[in-house]
Amino acid sequence: MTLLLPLLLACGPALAPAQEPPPDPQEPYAETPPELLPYRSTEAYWRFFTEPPQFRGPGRDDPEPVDLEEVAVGVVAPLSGPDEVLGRRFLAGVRMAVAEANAAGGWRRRLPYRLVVREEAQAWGAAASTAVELLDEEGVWGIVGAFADRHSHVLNRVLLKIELPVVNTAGTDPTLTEHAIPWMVRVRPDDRQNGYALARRIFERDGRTRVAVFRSNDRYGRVGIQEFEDAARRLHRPILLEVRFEDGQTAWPEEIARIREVGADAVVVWGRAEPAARVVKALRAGGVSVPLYGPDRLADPTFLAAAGPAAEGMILTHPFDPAAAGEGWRDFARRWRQLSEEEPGPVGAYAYEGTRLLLRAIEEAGLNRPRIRDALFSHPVIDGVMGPIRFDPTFNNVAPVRLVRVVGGRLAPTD
Amino acid sequence: MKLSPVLLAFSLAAAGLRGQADPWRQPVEPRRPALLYDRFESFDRSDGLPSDKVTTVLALADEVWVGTDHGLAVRRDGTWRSFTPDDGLPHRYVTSLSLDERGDLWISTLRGLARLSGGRFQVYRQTDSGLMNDVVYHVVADGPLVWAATAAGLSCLDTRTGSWALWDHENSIMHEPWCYALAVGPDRTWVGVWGGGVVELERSTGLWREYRDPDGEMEIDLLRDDGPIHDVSSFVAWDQGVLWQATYFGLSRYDGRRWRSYLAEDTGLPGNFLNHVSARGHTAFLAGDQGFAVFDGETCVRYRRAPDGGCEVSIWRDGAEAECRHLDTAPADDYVLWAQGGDSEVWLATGRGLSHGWREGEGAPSPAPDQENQDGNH
Repeated sequence: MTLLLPLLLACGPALAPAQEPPPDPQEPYAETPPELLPYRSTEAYWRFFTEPPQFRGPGRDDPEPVDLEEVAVGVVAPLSGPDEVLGRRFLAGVRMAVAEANAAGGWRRRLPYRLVVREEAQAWGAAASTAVELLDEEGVWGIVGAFADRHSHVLNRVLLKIELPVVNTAGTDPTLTEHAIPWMVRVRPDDRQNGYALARRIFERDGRTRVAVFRSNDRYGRVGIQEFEDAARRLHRPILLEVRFEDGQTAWPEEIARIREVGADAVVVWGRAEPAARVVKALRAGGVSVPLYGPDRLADPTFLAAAGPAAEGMILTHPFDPAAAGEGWRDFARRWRQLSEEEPGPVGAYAYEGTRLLLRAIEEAGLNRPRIRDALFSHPVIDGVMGPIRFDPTFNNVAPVRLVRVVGGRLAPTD
Repeated sequence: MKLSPVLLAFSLAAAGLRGQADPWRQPVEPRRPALLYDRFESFDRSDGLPSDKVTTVLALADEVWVGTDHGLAVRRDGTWRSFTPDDGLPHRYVTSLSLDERGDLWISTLRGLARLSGGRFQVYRQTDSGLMNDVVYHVVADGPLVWAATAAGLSCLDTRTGSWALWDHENSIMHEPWCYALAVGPDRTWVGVWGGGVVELERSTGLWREYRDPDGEMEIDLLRDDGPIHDVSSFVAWDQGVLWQATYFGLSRYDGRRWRSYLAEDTGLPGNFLNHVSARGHTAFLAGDQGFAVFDGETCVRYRRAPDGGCEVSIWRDGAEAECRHLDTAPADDYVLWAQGGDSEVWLATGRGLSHGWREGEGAPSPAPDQENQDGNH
């Protein structure tokens, strides 16, 4: 990719605040459809997240450093382990945005941006130490990351201490922005939106009534499926059965037998791409012929390649609509293909978009972290290459997710 | 050396630190009138602090220890002395301080735990001790035990044996191991957990209990007083049978039978974003991002800077402001990260310096606060 950078002097489009009105804070939180609201017949004692989080601490008047030779930006990415493939794509998106910014002259046409990459270690809590190191040793002005939600949560909490802006581009855990700590925004739609879209499709559009869930036995599976299962219950279609798979598992005869025994008329598969692909293949090989559904984590080249024909007909959520995104998306995809043989997928695209958002905030605010934070939280709607990013009051992207169907090994729009 | 939690339960019980008394049935000091501080003085870098951003404070009989984002400092006889990583501090950012029974100072930082003993720092890190993670948000020394809330779980060092006990999501009730604060009382240790409400360890049995907002939704508090106001805990404190949970969404109080919830809008708290709570008797000292307050469950006295540089004191009762006063002096800033209070004075860690408040007529005493009131655990 590095060798091709000189070819990319024609940089990407400017990331601009959109004219579209922001979500109304008086509307149901996260634009929840009325029929999916929790406790909808009861008026809650208090509703949180009705206004953006505020940072009321000092620091905005601190002078900018005058002796810098570059502007450091951190990224926390999985460079090894189970998310390595997605991590490469994530990092490629970040690098692409930084390269474009530097090709355009860098920070205020004065200083180049320097990307500082840190491994997303698997140990619980490691991300907190990583953030502290990035600030202490590299002097970063913001971070893109982390990748896995459990690491992103750890990162978030330490931000209140070290006061460092972060853009999350990969997490889908709805609670990732539900804490009021005013230093992190997320650009990718979350599993709340995925759950709503899947529930409405499965129960209302497709009329399924006996739905089983086959999810990964990890944090992503446990937290990710929650909003879908809540939505199913609120639509009076509680799921029939939930069975789980482990990351390295390859056969599930008992679980598949149970799905068949209960007479499920649809199965939702929820997990990371590779193990979920094995599950899908095992379901089909085990004689489960009912429709299969899945979250946006599976609307990804990695899953499609690994699942092969077994995924045909599967309906997945997708975090944006490439067709509706228009020329901006097509231009981005063209520039991406100049750098990589792989498709960007949502992971690469949001990494690119989130990095641009952070760089724009640094450009606008100057080299002052509280002011960079303010800039990040100042635009409730942004026109991105994937279409509008619409932040709710927690600064979580609530732009509607789309549904796609696997057709011929590719993703095709569906109603 | 690490000790299993089961063994630790016996060890903790044998320590007899607080016996096995019921933490919810404690002798209570006579009720006090609403606490009012009339005068404030502040200290910052110009006075010798390592930074204006003060993160924590521990006031003792003859000295005041202060943690900042750029080191540790102590004030003795009117003079400040600073300690930085060059002196052996494990990291510049100090998150909390606690004094143990031997007079050693325990310091939690964003890169390890330290004991300052005899003028030397002994550092504990994840790689060479039982510390669950190097990011340590809170340390509490209780008898021979030292408890540390870390970004990846709870650690407890028995200083008599050098053994550690560790808890995380795999051997306790925590769903996730993100521990941010703790409080220690008779036979109980409470942990404020990110997204997990408050978890309680009964030390004599090793049993865990969980306190969560029953509605299960992050965006609402469905019913008032039905449990913790929110599952994202920022701090916990206990004293004389009352547990306080500070959150970024308001305050909760638990007396062993009933939870109560409090918001700025109906109580007069210094905003709903609360960084810290400490407790003395049935009174809570609250550090928020819009000032600080003293609250006993009925009366809330909130202090905020006034435009003229003085202080606006707002006294709330029965859900409404009952009285407002103006003081000539004010804390250094309304962004308050830590509040350690007592009958006659209060110490505040703020974003623009350390502040000290006291009651008019009692002078500005040299640091001589309530020694028992460390970290809100006594």
